[in-house]
Amino acid sequence: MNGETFGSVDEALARLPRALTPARDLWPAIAQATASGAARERPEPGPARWPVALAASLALVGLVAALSFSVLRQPGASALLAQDSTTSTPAKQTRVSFESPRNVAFISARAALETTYQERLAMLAPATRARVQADLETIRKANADIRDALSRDPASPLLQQLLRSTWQQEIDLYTEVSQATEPMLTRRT
Amino acid sequence: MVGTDFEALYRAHVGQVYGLCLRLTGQAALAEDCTQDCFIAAWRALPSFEGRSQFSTWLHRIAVNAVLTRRRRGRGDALRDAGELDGEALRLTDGADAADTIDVERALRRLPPGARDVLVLVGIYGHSHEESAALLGIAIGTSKAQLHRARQLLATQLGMGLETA
Repeated sequence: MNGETFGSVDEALARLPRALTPARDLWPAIAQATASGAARERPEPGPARWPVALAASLALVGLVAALSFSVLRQPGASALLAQDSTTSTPAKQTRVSFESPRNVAFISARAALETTYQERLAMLAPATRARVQADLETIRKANADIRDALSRDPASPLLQQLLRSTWQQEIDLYTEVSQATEPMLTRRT
Repeated sequence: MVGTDFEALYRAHVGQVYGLCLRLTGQAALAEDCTQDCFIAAWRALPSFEGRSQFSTWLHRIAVNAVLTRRRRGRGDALRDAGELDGEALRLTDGADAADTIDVERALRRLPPGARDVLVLVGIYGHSHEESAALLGIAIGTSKAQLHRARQLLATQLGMGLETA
């Protein structure tokens, strides 16, 4: 079955889900450990609490990119692509640094990736396109929620990291769309 | 940061951390222990996180350390004796894809530990050889050699051809 089902080892590995769900909820034991001895071993930076909506966004944003990526990485990805696309812009392979999001180079690279993403979006099959757009919206919503939380707790290193994480996920999503549609462009040329 | 905040962080990342631990250990119960070790260690170390790397990369480093620590203690020796991976262990539910995935997971599990570690980190979780070498405490050249060996072994086990660059 494998020779037909999988084109290569690399393809088979790419199809494996990165995230797996443990059979039991591991959080209670972790919460207990961090609330007792472990908690006393680290400094408490501040009393700020995040709103429930933010926690929900964070939980979602960790999942949405993986969902889109799994859709885009499905076997026979061409089946997920629209058959009558007329877009022909080659993918822009851009490496992005997230050290300084206000950096001009970052803004420029992000804009280039977003442009390519917008051009390639039409090449996706409608259902895939809808999933990707919904996931992007969730990432942007989480970004907004985190920014809001940061306005109340600007020194939180965790919030700052999570904000960077949403930028990364947005870029990753753009890149995934570009890569998923690349074979279609190659076939046309 | 309070517990609620950290729980949000846990919920967002537990899937990837557990997946990494399960593939490195090959045993669900051991992977759960390593995942818990990882998040407890992350809680303690969070104030030292400076944001120079992605948070997920930082968390993976802690997870790999948790697995290696358990191995050194000898608790990971049960790896070879662990039960067969199945859809329940992997929490897969979608029919044919699940069956194919289980074949690959089983083949992964039969790889020698050194080769499997590199294949999991580089081939599945997208780390560079530099990161893989740093995480595993090996030379970059060793990481590359182990990946090549792992891909060859996996291809043989699965009856696949390797894509050439």
